[in-house]
Formats: sequence, C-alpha cells, structure tokens
Amino acid sequence: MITLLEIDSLKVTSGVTNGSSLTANLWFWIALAELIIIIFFLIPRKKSASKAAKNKKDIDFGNIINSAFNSKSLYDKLKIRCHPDRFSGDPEKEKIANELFEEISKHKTDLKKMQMLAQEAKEKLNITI
Amino acid sequence: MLEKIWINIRSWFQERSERRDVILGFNQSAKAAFIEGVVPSLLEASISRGNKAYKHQFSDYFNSGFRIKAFKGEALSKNELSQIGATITSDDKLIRQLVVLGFDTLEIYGDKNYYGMQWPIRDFIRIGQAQQ
Repeated sequence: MITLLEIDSLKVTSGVTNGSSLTANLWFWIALAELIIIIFFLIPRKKSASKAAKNKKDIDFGNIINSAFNSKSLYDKLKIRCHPDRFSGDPEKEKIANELFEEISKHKTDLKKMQMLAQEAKEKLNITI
Repeated sequence: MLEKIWINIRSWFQERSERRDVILGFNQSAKAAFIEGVVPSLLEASISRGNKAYKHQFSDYFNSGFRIKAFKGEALSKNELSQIGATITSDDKLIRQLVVLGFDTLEIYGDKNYYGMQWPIRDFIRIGQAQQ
C-alpha cells in the first residue's frame, strides 16, 4: 500500500515537472514571437521616418512659429507703405501697388511671403520699409 | 479578413508615428526659434483630448486635440493667443496634415493651462481651393 502511494506521488511529481517545462517552452515561443513582431515593426519604421522627415520639411514650422509673433508688425508697416492710395498720381505704380496690396492682405500671416513682397515693393515702388 | 486587420494595425502604428513626427518637428523648430531669440515665447506642441463638439469624420477616437502651450513668463494676452491661432489656421498644408492625422481641435493655451482658445480644425480646410 505504501509503495503504491509512493509510486503515485512520484507520478504526480513527475507530471508537474513535465507541465512546468511545457509552460516554460510556451513562454519562450511567445517571447520569440513578440521579438519577431517588434523587429518587424522596427524595420519599416526607419523607412517611414525618412518619409516623415520629408513631410516635416514640406511644412515650414520655423516660418509658422516666426510668423505667429513677427508677421503682424511687418503687415502693419506694409499695408501703410504699399497702400494704392499713396500712388494715385502714377497709374502704373498704382496698379502694382494694388496687386501687391492684395497679395499682402492674402498672406498677412506668412512672414516669409511678406518679406518677399516687401522686397518686391522696394524694387518696384521705390519705397523704404 | 486577416489581411484587412493587419493593414489596419499597420496603418494605426504608422499614423501614431506620423503624429509624433509632427509634434517633434514643431517642438524642435519652436525651441530653435526661442534659443535664437527670433520669438519671445517658447511654444510646445502636445496631443490633448480635444473638444467633442469639433469632431469630424477622420477624428481620432481618444486624443484629437493639437495643443500648443506658450511659455512667456507672464500671461499671454487674448490678441497674442489669437495671432498664434490665426497663423496656424492660415497654413493650409499644416491644417490638412492635422486633419489627416485625426486632429479636430486646435488649442492654444498659456503656460499654466488655465486659459486658452480653441478652434475647430474642420472650419479651416479650404476644400476646392488651390494650394498656395
């Protein structure tokens, strides 16, 4: 009777050890699968990072931030200096001033564009800004 | 079926990455501009919950707000906040990019998040107009 019990207990213990090794194996395979998935996601991410960098270059954040604080003062100057009424005596200049004024009003929050327009105004209308 | 799920998972991760890139790009430019002394305030972009009332078809389910925090050392006036907002909303490319990435609310806040302004991004998509 005693021997039987001992045998049973041995069987039970051996069964447990087999089970734990099985679960250990299972976790190993899960970890391996996770590693493969992570590697898979990391490889294309490098490629997409260069795409994102291109997108970043497309959107000029520097100009947006700069415009947020500095465009208003330049716009205020330009709208006075380039106002078509100032060139009412010269029809050619008045026409240029009209076009410039329209462009300035359209791009009043874009500092880069306004700086270009200011340069154009200096050359074409002979004004100082 | 499985392929569709896989495509959805991949596009979700890609979108997260693109959102992160936009935020990082903005923050890097803001830091550079502040360090160089070009602008008087340090701006910092982050993702927020957004305003439910401003949802659109492509809104992200949870975090759909593009929040910009301005640090100046003193409270920003309403004019300053609206000027920052107007500059961002007038940039067609950025607005379209934000819509594509699931943002629906533009938020400009002062440095302590107690006060600020919000804009529904969908109102500034100039559909049918040529790119400037």
